[in-house]
Amino acid sequence: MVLRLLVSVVDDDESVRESLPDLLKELGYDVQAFSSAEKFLGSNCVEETKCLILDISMPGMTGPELQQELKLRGRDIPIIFITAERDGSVRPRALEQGAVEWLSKPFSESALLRALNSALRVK
Amino acid sequence: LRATGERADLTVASERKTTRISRLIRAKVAARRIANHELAVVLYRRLFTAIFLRPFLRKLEEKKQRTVSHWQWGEEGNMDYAGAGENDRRIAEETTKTAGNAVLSESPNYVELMAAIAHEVSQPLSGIITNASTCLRMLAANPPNIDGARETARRTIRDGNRASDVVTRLRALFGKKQATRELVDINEAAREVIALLLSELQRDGVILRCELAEELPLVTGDRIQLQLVMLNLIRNASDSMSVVSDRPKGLVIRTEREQGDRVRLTVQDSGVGLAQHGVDRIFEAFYTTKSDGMGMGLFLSRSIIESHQGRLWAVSNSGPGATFLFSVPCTPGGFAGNNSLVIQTVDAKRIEMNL
Repeated sequence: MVLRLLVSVVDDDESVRESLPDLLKELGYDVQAFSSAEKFLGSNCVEETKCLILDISMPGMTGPELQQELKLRGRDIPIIFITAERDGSVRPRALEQGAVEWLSKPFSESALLRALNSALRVK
Repeated sequence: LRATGERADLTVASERKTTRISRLIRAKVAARRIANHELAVVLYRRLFTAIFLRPFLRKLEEKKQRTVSHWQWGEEGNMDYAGAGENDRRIAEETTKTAGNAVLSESPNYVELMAAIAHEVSQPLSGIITNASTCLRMLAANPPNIDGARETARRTIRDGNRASDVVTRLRALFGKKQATRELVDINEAAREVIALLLSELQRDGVILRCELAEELPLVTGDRIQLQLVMLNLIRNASDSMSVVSDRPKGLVIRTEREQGDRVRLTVQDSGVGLAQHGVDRIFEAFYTTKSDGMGMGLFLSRSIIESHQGRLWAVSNSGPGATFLFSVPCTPGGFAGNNSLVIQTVDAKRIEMNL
């Protein structure tokens, strides 16, 4: 059995945490879902996570703040940001800070696959 | 948002970004509350009539006077062209578009509301697409995962219904229903609101004094909307006194006739008062000082009062607390009948409430 790569999903929206992990599992990944950035940081998945799918605007620590925090800790995980808002102003900075992809909800399976491929290739 | 020392090195650019994100979060939270709240549907619609249509129509009116002379108001308040040639019609349509876009894109409230709506629509759509993709993959597996596929198909339907609900609400929002125009007795309207809130106020230890003016003229407007404003002002007043323990929680509701044929309603509390720098901001959409507030109350209230050609404002008291006031024009010749009875009833309540 091939070792599956761990993808972590951090989103405060329950429907995302319910639907996205199932799809990712179908795509052949190991998945952990977290409802907040703090919960992800407090878990033992930070080291193992090969790719992070991260919501931008969450109460508490936001997506970009988690990105900063991981940088400070020296954890260089490829990040795919997902957001339901169309405000593009955060995007250039997020990408500049090393995010791999930026997906606007709703996103297609092929867009997700593309993002995952480039995220895991970077690593 | 967190404000810890380790973030002290934030650049100006990222601070701006953080503000934007916090606005998005507020819009998101608001969208979620709105999605779960029946009353919010009504408020939402009225909010749109107020902020979306009114400034738009006003700009249109200004442009119209300069460019097209053939406009007239349709029966339902819609713009109609009368005897306009094709060219005029084209100009008119362009004017509509330009005026609308100019007003809307200038308004930060519009941006936040659009973010809220986009979020509300995108969320279930996102679920539908993800679940349907999963479903296909489960069916294509060897052997097919029928139970999993069934479950994801069920979720797809559920999210589809969620999206459909959003559309229904938006339809209601942009539907043709106009605000009601009727003769409103402000005293009577206020009395109903007070009756509604009475037990709540008593529970919170609020000492209510009503000073409702005799011979108050009627105003023309939407009774329910005006009552929503009163409800909001009184609730806010009561909330602002919840932390007060060193003085009586005195609340005064007053109606009076203003000079220039206007009716004024005053809600005066003895609560925490207004922050000096925040007086203007309290009327902004999504601005709130409450941990569980949506930040829409005063914004909506002001929209409603302005749609009645009125004015809503706030002042700090000389002592503790704040006073919120609105004034709306009254209807010429319209007087509420039997006002003395109104006063008696309220006086009786006042005694009861002071106990």
